Amino acid sequence: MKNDKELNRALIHKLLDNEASSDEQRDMMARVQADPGLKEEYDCLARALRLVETSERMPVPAFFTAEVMRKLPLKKVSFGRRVWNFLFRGRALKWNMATALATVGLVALVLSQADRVRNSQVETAVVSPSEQTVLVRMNFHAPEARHVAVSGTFNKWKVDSNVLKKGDDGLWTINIPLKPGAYTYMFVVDGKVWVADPNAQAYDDDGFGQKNSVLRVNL
Amino acid sequence: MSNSTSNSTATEEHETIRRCLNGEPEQYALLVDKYKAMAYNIAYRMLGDADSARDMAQESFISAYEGLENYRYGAKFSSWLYRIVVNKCKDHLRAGRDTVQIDDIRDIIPDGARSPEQAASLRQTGDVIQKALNSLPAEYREVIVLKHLEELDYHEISDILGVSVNTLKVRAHRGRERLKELLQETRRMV
Repeated sequence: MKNDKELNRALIHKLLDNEASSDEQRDMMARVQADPGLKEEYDCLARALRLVETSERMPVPAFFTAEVMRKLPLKKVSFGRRVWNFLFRGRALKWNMATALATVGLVALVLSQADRVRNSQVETAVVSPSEQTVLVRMNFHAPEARHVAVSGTFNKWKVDSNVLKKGDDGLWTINIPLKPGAYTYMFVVDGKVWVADPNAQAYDDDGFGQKNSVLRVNL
Repeated sequence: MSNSTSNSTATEEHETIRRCLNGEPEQYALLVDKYKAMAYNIAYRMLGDADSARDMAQESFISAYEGLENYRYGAKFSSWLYRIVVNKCKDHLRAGRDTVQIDDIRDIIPDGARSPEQAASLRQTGDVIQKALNSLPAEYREVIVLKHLEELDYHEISDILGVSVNTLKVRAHRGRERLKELLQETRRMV
């Protein structure tokens, strides 16, 4: 059988948990007002909790997300899964009037030329492989950053040649035309912090104790 | 948060997880960004040290990523992550010292012998609260942090910690009593 003190204490905690009924709240507040010792106990508990609840939230350290992404282990995706993704993954196609008109024009051109093409030899423009480029898209997630550039062997390590554009989701992107080959690069955040690409194909020691990101471009 | 918003958030998170599992690891950054403040603050309140909190919060995200295959799509990602963060912090505490001593709290209480500058910096309420939290046993601390800092209800905490609601209430009750005593002692010393 609980004594009064234990009952009062249990009720105080019920109040602090916001689980007391309105009758229990009225009853408890009347008891608290009538008993200075109980009032002090309630006030002390409520004050302690108020201090905890109103304590300041700590700001997250800079580059927290980039560091996590850099440390993520590589997960191997099976060949079958890759084929499945390629064939069945949903793709969002964003249309605008210019794209629609261009598509209509292309279809009309193909139809008008179909008969001619059927009766003639196909002409293929010979392009030297060394002149061909591939448009490479680079992404870097840094919502806190104010400026992100990419610097690497493809731009002679210049820090202002290839500046990424920030999206609403904090993802910075850039498309760079590159010839086939292997390149090393780093992202430069706010003009001073050099960060390896957390999603790089590979990494290479830069000789200064850091890792450069490695990009291989194939046709 | 309304049910429809909550459902749409869960659907978006499930889609993000599915894409991570299907070979798009960069998608995971969306989840890290969304929950890093929550994970870091829980770790900070559990451990009381910025460097350890950052390490444990980051390790929690990495562990969650490694275990994405085991994630149940019906569950809330946040609850799953809460559990990982709390367990990481408890493991970290077990590996080191579990609680601080009352002397550690006295150290941050201003007294006449200290310089005004020291007294001013020591008077920071946050430090006092953190030291008091640090002195609680981990089982009490985790309930106080989840209940009174993250404002979760007992049923959600029960899902996260795998402990019955009644046991949690007892721990919260004892934790609050202990916190009150520590803060009272602090006030007497001031």
